Amino acid sequence: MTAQALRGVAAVVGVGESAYTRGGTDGVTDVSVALDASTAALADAGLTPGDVDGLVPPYMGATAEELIANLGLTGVRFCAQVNLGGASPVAALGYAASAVAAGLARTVLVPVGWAGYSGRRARALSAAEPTTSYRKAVRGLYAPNGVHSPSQVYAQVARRHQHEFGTPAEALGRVAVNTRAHAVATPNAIMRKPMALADHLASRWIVEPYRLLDCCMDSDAGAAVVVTAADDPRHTGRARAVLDGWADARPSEPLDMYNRADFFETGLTTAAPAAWAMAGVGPSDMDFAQIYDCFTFEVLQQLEEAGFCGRGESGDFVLSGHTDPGGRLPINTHGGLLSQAHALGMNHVVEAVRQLRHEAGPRQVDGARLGVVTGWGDLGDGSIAVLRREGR
Amino acid sequence: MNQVRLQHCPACRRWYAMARDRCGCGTPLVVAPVSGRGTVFSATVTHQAMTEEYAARVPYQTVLVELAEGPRVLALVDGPPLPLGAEVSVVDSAPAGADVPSTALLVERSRR
Repeated sequence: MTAQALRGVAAVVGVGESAYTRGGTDGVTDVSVALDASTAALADAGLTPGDVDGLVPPYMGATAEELIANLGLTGVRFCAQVNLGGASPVAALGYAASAVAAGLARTVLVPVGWAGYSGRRARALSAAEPTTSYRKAVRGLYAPNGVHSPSQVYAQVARRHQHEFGTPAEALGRVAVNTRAHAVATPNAIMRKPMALADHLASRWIVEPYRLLDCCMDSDAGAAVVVTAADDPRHTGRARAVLDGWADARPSEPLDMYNRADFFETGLTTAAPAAWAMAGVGPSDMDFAQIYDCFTFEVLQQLEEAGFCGRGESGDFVLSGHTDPGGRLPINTHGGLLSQAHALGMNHVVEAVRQLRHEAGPRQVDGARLGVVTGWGDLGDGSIAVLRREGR
Repeated sequence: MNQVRLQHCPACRRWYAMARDRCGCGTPLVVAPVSGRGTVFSATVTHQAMTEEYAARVPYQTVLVELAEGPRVLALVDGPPLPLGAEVSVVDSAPAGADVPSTALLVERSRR
């Protein structure tokens, strides 16, 4: 069987989110936000916990056992974890779809939850048990040189890109400003104060070349989706997001961010062509893109590696206005990790589905029929999913 | 200050900045000294300390140095920031033993 044979076999039929907050609520944990999102996603799909027979638990936070016990999932027979850091949620869509296609499960729940404000912050993750290659690299090799957080790890790549290609600060700022404009139109976004380019350029340095407004936020957020067969008779009457293509990959030197033969290679460099081929469409066919935006530069880098523009051209691409609200490729129409919340990128999947169902209200991309979601993880792991509207 | 040591594959002659159990070609790795000479490939300046330990140090520059032997290594800079392309020499600021690859590096300021 080829990957193309799996094109269109499965669909996202339910999406859900926890409240997106930064403090002010007691008892918020990684588990609680994952549970809230799961309950909402099942309700959105018109299904019950008893219908769930497949589960892809998140790579950190709630365990499969906690999800099963707290949600009352009595029938799970397929359960597999996907571990590519922040690229995991988008990658998980493909594993869920594959399980459905293989007949291993009929209804797969894919939740994430991270109390990244009330609980463990991003910059403290490398000090946690070094269970991932990212944490091992930071703890063992980068931290002795003053590099502890994702912003510090990735800033080296951003700075080199600026040096080689002249990528200006204004291009990073344009990403932040566009994303905020979308958040203003998104009721559950945390950061909804309008932002101008001058605000971005005046914000304080975190780690050069990243300013405060280049960085995603610490938040408490959970998001979840439900995947079934595309032709599942329980859902044929309703618009849904069919998974036409997907792929995930690790870069060729997966242990170390800085020693790849091609310095700007990420997992997406190989995953994106595979996903486009599987879906039978390309970047120019997309009505929108939800791009994992841990920092503004990573959006630019992924636009290049996913094939929306050539290497080194992403600065011109965004400054030309293509990715502005109402442009030909609106990006992160919900406000992303920068301005909505850090639900590990599953909020990008939720938004893609809402856009394809034409339920996005004032931020709706007119007539959206095809969209793409990417994930970015750890030392540059990449994932991508191409989704298509089907149904009335 | 001591010479920088990194893992090296005696068979395919690759150097590794990030320590591992064996070379991808299947050969056990040895730890050997490198020249320490290289060029600043990229650089960042941290303004917000991410740990207590670095709170008194900000702002500070961390450079990514491409060594003459090939691998790129991070190193702290004491003093004014260096531009990309600068030729530098790095040393091991916290040697942990002859058989252990270096992890904490410092850019040696020019002695002219």
